[in-house]
Amino acid sequence: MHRKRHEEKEVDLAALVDILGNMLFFLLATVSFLQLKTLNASVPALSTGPVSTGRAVDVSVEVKAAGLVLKASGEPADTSQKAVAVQMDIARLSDGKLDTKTLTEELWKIKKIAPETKNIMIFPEQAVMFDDVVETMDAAREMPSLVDPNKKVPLFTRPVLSELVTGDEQARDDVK
Amino acid sequence: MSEPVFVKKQKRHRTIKVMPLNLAPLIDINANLLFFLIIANSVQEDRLQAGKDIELPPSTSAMAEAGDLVSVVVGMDHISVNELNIDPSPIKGGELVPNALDPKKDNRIISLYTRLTERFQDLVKKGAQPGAKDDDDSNLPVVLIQADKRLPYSTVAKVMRTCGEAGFTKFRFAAKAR
Repeated sequence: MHRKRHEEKEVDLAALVDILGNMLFFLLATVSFLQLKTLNASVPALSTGPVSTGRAVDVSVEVKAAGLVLKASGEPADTSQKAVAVQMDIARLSDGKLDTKTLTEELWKIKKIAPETKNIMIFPEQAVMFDDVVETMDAAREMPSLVDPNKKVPLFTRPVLSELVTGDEQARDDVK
Repeated sequence: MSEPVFVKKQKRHRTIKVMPLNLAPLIDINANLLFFLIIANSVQEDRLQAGKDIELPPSTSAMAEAGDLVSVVVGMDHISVNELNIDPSPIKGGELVPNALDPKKDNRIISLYTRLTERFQDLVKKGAQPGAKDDDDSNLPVVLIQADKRLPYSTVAKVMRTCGEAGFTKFRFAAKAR
């Protein structure tokens, strides 16, 4: 029998490697690994609709240079619960950061009494850094579950940002 | 004394063997990397794009919806709407330039207001419903504010106020994942 001789032909892969190398460089240069997240927020808006007169708890947080001021007042929808009246100063930590842990704990106490409340008013001072505002919004939005720390429990998911009006500005506006 | 022995050096015929380089594993790795990067790039189109020259605040938020947004980037020295810089810049070193504000209209940022009003009109033509109910806000135009974390809130508040006056009362703040 005639035996066929197999000749091994080599494929020149250098060109392919060149192309792959170029594409890799291009894609590595253009890809972005930064993950952007978003936070919902709104501003107080004028409304011509009917005014709600039902039982509700108003929660607000003032973000100041000295720290946070938590205020909550009103009657929860659950009539078995007592009316809420909270006013609490939460000073900054020794490193200058906001004590968001304490804020979350206090907000959780309010949330337990008035679970139907979703809005929270946030009043930052004019000179406060935007970073502090986002940190406060984070602390007010959710907290780690007490049962499973990997899960999050929603707190006040609708932050409304407004401006803190100081005494002088109030007087000036009244004169207008 | 013994006589020195002269050894005749034998000439070696060196044959240079060219070893074929096995490129198969390299191509395998490259192909995998390419596949990963192409997928990452295609997903990126739906993702939010970070503004240039800004340091976003970190957040624990898990929401990363993009959708049809108007993007306002507020850096320390520039403001841009949908990646178009406002020129001349109404902001310097994080503070708004007094000339850029309209004191008669609640200190709104004039150039930003003009740009946003045009954009708002475009969106209304496309079917956005300004003034929709708060609970059904799916048709409300949303503005994504990418503000530098070092900015004072007074500046961000003026940007928000200007957005609100131009019709955008719903905001989203961009942050980087913590």
